[in-house]
Amino acid sequence: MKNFLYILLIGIILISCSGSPDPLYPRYTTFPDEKTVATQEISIDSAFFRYPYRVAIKDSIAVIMDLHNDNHYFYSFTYPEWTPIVSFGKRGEGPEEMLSAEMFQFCSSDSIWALDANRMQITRWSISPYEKTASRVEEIDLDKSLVRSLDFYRTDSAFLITDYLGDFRYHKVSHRGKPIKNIGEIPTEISYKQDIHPALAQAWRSFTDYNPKNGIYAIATQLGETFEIYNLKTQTHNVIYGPAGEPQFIEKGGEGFPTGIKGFVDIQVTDDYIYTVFDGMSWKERDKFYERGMAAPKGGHFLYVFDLEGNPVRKYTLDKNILGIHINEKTNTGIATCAESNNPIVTFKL
Amino acid sequence: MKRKIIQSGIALLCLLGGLYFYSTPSDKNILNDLAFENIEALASAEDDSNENYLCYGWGDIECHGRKVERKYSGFR
Repeated sequence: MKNFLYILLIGIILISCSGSPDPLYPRYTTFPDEKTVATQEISIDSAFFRYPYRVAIKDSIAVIMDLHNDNHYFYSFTYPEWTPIVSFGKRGEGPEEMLSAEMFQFCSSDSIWALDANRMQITRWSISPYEKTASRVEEIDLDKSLVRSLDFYRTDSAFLITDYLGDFRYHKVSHRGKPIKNIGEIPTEISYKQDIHPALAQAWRSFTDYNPKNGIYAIATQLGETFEIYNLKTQTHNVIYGPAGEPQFIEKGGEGFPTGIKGFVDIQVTDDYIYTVFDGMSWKERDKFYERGMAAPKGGHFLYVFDLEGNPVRKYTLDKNILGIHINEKTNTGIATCAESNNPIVTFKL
Repeated sequence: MKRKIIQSGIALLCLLGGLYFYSTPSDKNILNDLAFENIEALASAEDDSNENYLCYGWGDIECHGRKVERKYSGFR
C-alpha cells in the first residue's frame, strides 16, 4: 500500500511537470541576418500631424494618413520633393465627410481607395497635383452583414476584407460591397467556445497586404506574433508563429482586452518579400510608462523581412519607432511614418 | 524513515504546486493607485467610463469606433 502511494505521488509529480501539447503551426525564433539601421527625418512643415499612421507612394504622389487628425485624414504630396498638394478626407459627420479612416491604397498613380469603418464605406479619391485638388469620385457601401471592416485590399475582382466576428479569417466582397465568400478561420491553437469568437476576433485584429503579381495575401496580427500567408494563386495557406506566439487576451462581456504583447504594426508584400513592422513590447511594460505619467512608445522599431513562404530572412533594428511603411526595393529604401519625431516621415536604407 | 519520505514527497508536491500557480499569469490587469490616477488623467472627454471597459489615449487599438492607446476592463 505504501509503495502504491509512493508510485502515485511520483506519477502526480510527473504529470504536473508535463509540457503543453505539440504546437499546430511552425515557429520562427531567429533571423539569419540582422542589421541596425539609422533613420533620417524628412522635413515637412506644411501640415501638423498628430498621429501619422500610414504612408504610400505611387509614382510621383505620396499620401500620408493621420489617424488622429483634427481636420483631414489624408495629406498628399509630390514625391520625392514632398511638396504639399492637398489635404482631403475631412473628418466629420457630413455626407461626404469621414467618420474614421482605417487604411488606404493607391488604385492608380493619382487615385486612392480609403476605408471608413465607422461609415462602413470605401471611397475613391482622385488627386490632381496640378489643380491641387482631391475629389471624392466613388462611394461603396459595405454590406451590414460584415458588421465592421477594419482592413481591406481591392483586387481586380473583389475586395479582401478581414472578418470582424471571429468565425472566418477574411471575406471576399464584391466591388459593390456584397459578400461573395467567407474564407479561412482564425489560426488559434487554443479551443475557444463559439460565444468567445467576437472577442477572439478583436484580439486577432490584423493588418493585411496583397500583391497581385505573386498572389500573396499576407496577414499579421496586431497583438502577439502570428502571421499568415495565403497564396491566392496556388490556393495554399501558411501560418507562422513568432516567439511571442498567438495574441493573448481576456474576454469579458464579449469584449477582448489585450494582454501579452503588442505585435505587428504594418505589413507590405513586395514581389519577393514580406516586410512587417514589429513592436513586441508587453502591455505590462507599457503600464510602467503610464505609472510614470508618460506615454508609451508609438509603433515598433523592428522591421522583419520574410520570404514569400514565411521563412525569416532579415531583421532590421531602427533607431526610431515607426508605424506605417512603404518599401521600395528598386532603390533599396524604406519610408515610414513616425509619431515620435518632429517630422511625420523618416527614411532609411535597407 | 518512511514517514520522512512521505513528508518529503508532500513538501515537494506543495513546492511544485506553488511554482505552477506562481508562473501562471494572472487574468487581472493589476495597476497601482498611481497608474490608475494617470490613466484617468489621460482619459479623453469621450471615455466610455460608464461601461465595463475603459479606453483612453491616442493609439491604434480598436475600441468601439475609436482608436485608443489602451483598453482596460472591469474598472466599473
